[in-house]
Amino acid sequence: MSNRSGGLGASGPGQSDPAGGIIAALGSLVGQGLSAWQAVADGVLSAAGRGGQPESGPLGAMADMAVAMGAALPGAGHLGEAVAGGQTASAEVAEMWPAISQACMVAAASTLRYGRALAEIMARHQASLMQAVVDRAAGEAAGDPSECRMLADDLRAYLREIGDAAMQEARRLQHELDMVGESIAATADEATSPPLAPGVPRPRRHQVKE
Amino acid sequence: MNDAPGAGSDVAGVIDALGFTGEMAALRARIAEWVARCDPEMREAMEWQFLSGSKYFRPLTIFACHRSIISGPIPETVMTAALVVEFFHNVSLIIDDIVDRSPTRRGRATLHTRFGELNALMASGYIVADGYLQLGGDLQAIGLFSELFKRLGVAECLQWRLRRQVLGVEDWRRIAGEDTGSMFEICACLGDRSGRLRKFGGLLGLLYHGCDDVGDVRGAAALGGGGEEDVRDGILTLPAALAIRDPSIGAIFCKSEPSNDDLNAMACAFAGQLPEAEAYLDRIADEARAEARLFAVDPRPLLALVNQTRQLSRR
Repeated sequence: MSNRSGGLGASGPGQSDPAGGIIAALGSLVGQGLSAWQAVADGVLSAAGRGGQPESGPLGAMADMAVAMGAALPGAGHLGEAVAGGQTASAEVAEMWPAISQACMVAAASTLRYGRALAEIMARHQASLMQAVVDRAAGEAAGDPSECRMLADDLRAYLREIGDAAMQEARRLQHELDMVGESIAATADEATSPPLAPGVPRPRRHQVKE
Repeated sequence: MNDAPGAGSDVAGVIDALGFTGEMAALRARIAEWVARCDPEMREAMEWQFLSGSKYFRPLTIFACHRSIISGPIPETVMTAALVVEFFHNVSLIIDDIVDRSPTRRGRATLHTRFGELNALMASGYIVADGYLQLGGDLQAIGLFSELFKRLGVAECLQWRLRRQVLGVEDWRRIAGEDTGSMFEICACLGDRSGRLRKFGGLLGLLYHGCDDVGDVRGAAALGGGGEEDVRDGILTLPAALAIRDPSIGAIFCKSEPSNDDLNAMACAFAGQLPEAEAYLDRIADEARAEARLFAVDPRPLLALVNQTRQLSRR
């Protein structure tokens, strides 16, 4: 019997409550995702040369996530039977590997870019920041009112730029992940829909602007 | 990197370089047709306001943002948005001229000077009402124009409330971003309809506003304004925000009734800040270019807009 008060850990894949199974799997994925995310930021670029083979490291963590997601889907076996050519859901997940790897790379690049942007902003405003620290340590306000106003403007610009950098990187990441998501959807369409005549584009509900 | 067409040329040159000559001709024709269909009581005022040599920079921004995301002809919804943005821009000019007590714009009498304040205010309402009617069922555009008018109203009140106060460049940036910035933000959204270029539009508007401020100090008439009203009213322009860091200039800036000597002292101090103001505008232009390169499929039309706008302070 599932423990409904247990939230995300209520029930696992394969148990009688399919919704609970999905929630449990998602809860597990969130935990894995957090650790994978950290690992990605630390060193995914070195793992990129494996040609998309998910063996270990951050990409392996992403693989585990994908397999867990596939296993958690209720009726995944039925979906597999419905696929033309007898492919299974796990096979579909495997087909999406390049896109998942790409998403991982996009996220890693985003993390690195954001860090670099913060460092650049910090370097640009370093003099003002140091001045503020020195003034504070000396227990004195800036003597010249004109300098004080310039310092205040610079510190405010620093804070604004920190916020702007976060927003810009978030928008950029969203856009790039949208495009990866679109490619995953296209792959799924290819695998689950009847073949079209050569040269006929497969209809999609919407298309991300590229 | 100056890799866009139109750098250093006038707006008409940019329109030609980007291939929007036909669209602009169509827009002018639609405006003329609309004016001809206005109520006879309003028609003369509308002719005065609309057929007096607008540069159509805001419609151009809409077209360029659309083209930077989607290739092909400009669709009807975008053409209508360009028409309505020109309507609403003119409403903001009419109101500004009344508030600023400006006798002339673009070298001729302002609408309220020529026809009286009542007629000018009623014409504003007439234009807004018909603007929304033009949008028909385009709910996204209706939402964007509503956002624009609310933000413009708030910005005008904010700017007026904060006049004659010693504030900083960041305050200028916030006010200008809500004033001209919001106008161009909405133009960008009307053009690309995905929100991807919203930030670019805001930066373009900020740049336009700053170039206008600097151009006024240079005594430029390129943008149609004089700038003397801003000095008299204690409006926080970019050169003012830089100059009032000097406490003596800040004290003069705060006077409710500055003498001619005070006005001259401020004009000299503002002029002394032009190099720093130009450098600040260069940084805004760089930010706008970076946005264009990051989020546009084809950034060239947007880079042309930035280059064109950046030139406005140097005339």
